[in-house]
Amino acid sequence: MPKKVHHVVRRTGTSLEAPIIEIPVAEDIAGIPGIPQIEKDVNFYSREYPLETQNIEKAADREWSWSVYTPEVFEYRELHEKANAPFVQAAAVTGEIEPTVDPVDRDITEDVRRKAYELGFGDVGFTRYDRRYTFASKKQWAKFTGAICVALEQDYAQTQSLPSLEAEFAHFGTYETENKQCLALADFVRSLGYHAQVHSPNDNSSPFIPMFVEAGMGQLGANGQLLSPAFGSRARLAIITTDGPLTYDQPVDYGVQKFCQGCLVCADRCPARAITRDKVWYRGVEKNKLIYDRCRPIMSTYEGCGVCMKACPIQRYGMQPVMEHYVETGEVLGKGTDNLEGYSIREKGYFGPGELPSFDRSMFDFPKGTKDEWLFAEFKDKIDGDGPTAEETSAFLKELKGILAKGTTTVGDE
Amino acid sequence: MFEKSDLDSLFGDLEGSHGSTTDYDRLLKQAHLAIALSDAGRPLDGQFDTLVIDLVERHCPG
Repeated sequence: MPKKVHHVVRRTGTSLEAPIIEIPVAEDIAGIPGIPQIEKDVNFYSREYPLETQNIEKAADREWSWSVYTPEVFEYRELHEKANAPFVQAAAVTGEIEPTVDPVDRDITEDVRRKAYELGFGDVGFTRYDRRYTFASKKQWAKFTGAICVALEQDYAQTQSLPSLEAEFAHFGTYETENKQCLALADFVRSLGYHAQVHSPNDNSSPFIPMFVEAGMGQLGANGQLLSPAFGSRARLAIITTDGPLTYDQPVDYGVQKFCQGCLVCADRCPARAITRDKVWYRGVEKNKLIYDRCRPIMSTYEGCGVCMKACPIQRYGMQPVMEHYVETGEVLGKGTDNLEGYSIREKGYFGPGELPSFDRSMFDFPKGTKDEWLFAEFKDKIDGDGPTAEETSAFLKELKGILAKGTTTVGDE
Repeated sequence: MFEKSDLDSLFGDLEGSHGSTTDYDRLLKQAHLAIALSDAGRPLDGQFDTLVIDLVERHCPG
């Protein structure tokens, strides 16, 4: 017997000309718009324990990951870094560029929306740039209060081949395109007389998803990704901040919070067992918390992994048919089938529903923390053992000096 | 229910006939949805390209 529909969400499709997407939200999965959060806790953690980019906090494993890439991934990543770097560098200084004309002195929301779609973005929304999520290293860098949230869909066919080199082409290729499009959109905002700062997806100023949720562009899925109405989690996100006058969007309830808890295919299929089935309160937000130290080595070793993206029914089939099917049947479309849940892992083979690969414990023994933290950890092990030799102590000091001289970078790609 | 071998042959056929066309993404999306609905015992209505319905019917096990 069909379920009672609590409300219907109507959203623009992936272009202004595309048909409106109508998503029925069943009564038993209706929740709150956006995400459950405790404001005072979000404020407290943001103030006392500000977030920091993984490119700094997890720099040791970022460097290590290159050592476990296949030769093909390594070669492609090098090419990508070379191609992408100029756009990331250009984005870093966009906040300093002055507008080219006097302000048009009117609300620019619809101008920006039209231009974003024209440039090829698949979704755009507007909200306040939430500094509570700004990384410690970016607090002085981030300017302007208005956030233009843009999402670029990555190739459908390539995404369904996850984990694979082919899917990595989609992943990183989308970033290259997105960086260029963001620079063009920022130029457009300046042509209306306002400042525009590009927050590159490869040099994030903060986690972007909270602001996309606040702008009504989707909700946080159990897989830790934004589940958007038009393309699920198959998107790469970026933000442009501006001092131009914008009308902010409002968060929306797509039913994702409760739907995911009844689905959990991502958690069940994760090769690394890295997604918590139960939601937890983390820094004032209720979510299924990803266990980074389980995810990272699998992601690095197996072509970006991404099984959690591939196996999400909302990514695979689209939010509208999935929610319609839920209303009609009370079931999660595709759950328990090879079509949704099956995947192959290089050198491990095919894993259908209920089957998971196993890995040696050593797989999860990889460098943790910043580079100097990891260097100290290794040196402490030597002290705890037979004690370091003079050569080892000298090598330690030399490496530490090198790390300190090189400094940190906020740039990264994953 | 579609098993891996059925899926491999269906998607192999689709890629062979339309893999290099601009329509491939749309057809692939439709094929995945049609398989899911078929697996769930739901009818495939007019929202699908006839090519997709034909593929699903041809490779549908049992």
